Amino acid sequence: MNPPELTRDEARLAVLAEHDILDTPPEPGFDDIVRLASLICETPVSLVSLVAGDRQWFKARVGFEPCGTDLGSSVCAHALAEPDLLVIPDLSADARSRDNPLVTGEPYIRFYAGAPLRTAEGHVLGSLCVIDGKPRPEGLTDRQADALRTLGRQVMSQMELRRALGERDALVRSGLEAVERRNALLELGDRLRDLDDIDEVVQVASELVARTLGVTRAGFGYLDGGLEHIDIVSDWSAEGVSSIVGRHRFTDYGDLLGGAPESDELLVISDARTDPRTAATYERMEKIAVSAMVNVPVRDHGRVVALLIVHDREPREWTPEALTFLRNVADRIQAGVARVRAENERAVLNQELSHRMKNMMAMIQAIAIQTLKSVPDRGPVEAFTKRLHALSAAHDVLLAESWTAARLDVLTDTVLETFATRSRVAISGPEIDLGPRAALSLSLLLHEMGTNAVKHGALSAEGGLVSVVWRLEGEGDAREIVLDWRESGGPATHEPAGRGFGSRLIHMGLVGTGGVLLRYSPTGLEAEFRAPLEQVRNS
Amino acid sequence: MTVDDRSPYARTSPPQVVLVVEDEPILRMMAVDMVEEAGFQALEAADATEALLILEERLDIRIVFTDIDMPRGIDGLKLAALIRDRWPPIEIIVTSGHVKLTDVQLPDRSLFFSKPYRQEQVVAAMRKFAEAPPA
Repeated sequence: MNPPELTRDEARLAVLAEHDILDTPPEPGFDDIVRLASLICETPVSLVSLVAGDRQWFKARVGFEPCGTDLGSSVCAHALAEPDLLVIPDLSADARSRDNPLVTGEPYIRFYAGAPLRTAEGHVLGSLCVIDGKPRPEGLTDRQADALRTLGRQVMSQMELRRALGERDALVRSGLEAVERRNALLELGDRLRDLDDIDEVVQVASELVARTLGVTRAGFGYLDGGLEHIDIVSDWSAEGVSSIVGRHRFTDYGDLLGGAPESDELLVISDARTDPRTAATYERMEKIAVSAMVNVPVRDHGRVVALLIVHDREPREWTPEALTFLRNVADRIQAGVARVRAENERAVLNQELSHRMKNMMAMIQAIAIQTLKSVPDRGPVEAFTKRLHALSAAHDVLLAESWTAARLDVLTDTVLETFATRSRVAISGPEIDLGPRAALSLSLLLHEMGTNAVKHGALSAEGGLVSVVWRLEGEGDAREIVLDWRESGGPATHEPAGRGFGSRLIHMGLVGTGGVLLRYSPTGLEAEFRAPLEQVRNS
Repeated sequence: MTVDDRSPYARTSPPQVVLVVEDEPILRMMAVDMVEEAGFQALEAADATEALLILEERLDIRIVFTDIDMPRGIDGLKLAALIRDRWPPIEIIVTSGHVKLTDVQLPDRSLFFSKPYRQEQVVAAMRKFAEAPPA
């Protein structure tokens, strides 16, 4: 006999699916109920049977081995239509069950009583049944029947409770996932801000996407002009999943361009095996371990130029939240790439500007040399061109950081290397970045100090040494940089009589505001230069 | 300037010839002065094309001192490569306002000085080249 119509009722099956209970592990709440039912009804077998569209599945069972059967072997299917208990005293004598394989063969069941598992809206999802191998003409006693009904309602309560818990868990989980996605976006923003290489930007984004969504591969690729190929430049893949960096032709993998990528549409595939766009080419997809995928367009100046690709080797449903997340990631990559490009352009501009400035300095040098050609005293002319070179050196150091900062150690080394070999000038101190103005004034200061050392100080004598050491003193706003210049091994030094321009440059100090202490001692000049760190960094 | 001992090389033989290639007249004037004060004979060209004409005429040029960035036709780097190819013995010194020559290749045995260059360094390089036997 065919299973009754009601087994295939779509509304009923939908409610059963909502419970998400089929094929789940045993739970004590249900196990206890079947044990009680078999005790009370004095039957060897009791089952919580859920009737799906094509089978019955037992959430709990006692005295029965299989965890489910097809509907041809189901007596419970007939209980669906019953308003109350379905009791069949002798299954071999009843038209509904006499051909049932479980009746005609092993385990030769004979007696059946089932209470419908009815939801509040009236859908019957299955039954709580008791079964015996012997016919029972008298059926259940009134008290047994009453108990079976009660226990059936108890099964329903368990199922409702279970569903409520599941929904709550899902809510908590989606809340946690939302937090994870938000954190991932924050982290991405932070990390992208510090990167100055486009390849790194996409590498970092790929890894973050894969980690956050728990997918097996995420990558980034540029589209060719004709939209035939994608050049995947970097990807992150889970263990056991290979990288697909390289050139791929879209049509090899199915119809992946329809709609996308010229629109803002994401290409979303949950199961490549069944999706009409990829079913025919599924083997190609399988080869690169793709069952589910999303392609997110990334734009540059309004045109789609690249795709963020996300793959999973298992089919999966992409939640709207996950897709929004991917859109956000693509936006950030777009912004990150645009920023890197703008910075590169700025660097080129800086380079060009610097080039012109250096040509200008060369012109000034030439004009000065030509103008002062007839001056018999070469000293001032030479001093001028050398100061110009000191400025030019500061300029080179600043240019290395796009005119935002100059490293104190690099600047010191660059300016002083013209005066003596490195073995005679010792430079040390913590890494400090100087602002452009401080870099320029310090280069002139160090140049004067070096010139004096060569003329009258330690570098004028064989074996004389200069040490330049700086440190930070104080805390917070009062933090100061202290730079010590010490000469040794040279002749005794005396304070110069007059104050020329060179001497005034020295007395202006690190940032042009003084803070200079000079001690002309018999062992050599000792100088201390002090300035607020804040000013040194930001001026 | 620190071109202190003048024309040390010219004592025993006629001065060696340095070709200065620079499009900016003021810079060229300064470079020519520097070369002459160092005791060399200076020839000048305002661009690479002119320089090539001179190179074809004069077979006694020992050193070419050229700017890189020059308008019209070939720049100083191409000129340098050309010289290395056609007149291998000639020494080459290159200068430019560009600080780094990262992606450009200077020919073998050539030297680079960033603008504004220190005259004493350039002169020292020229002397070293001039004193060595021609390659």
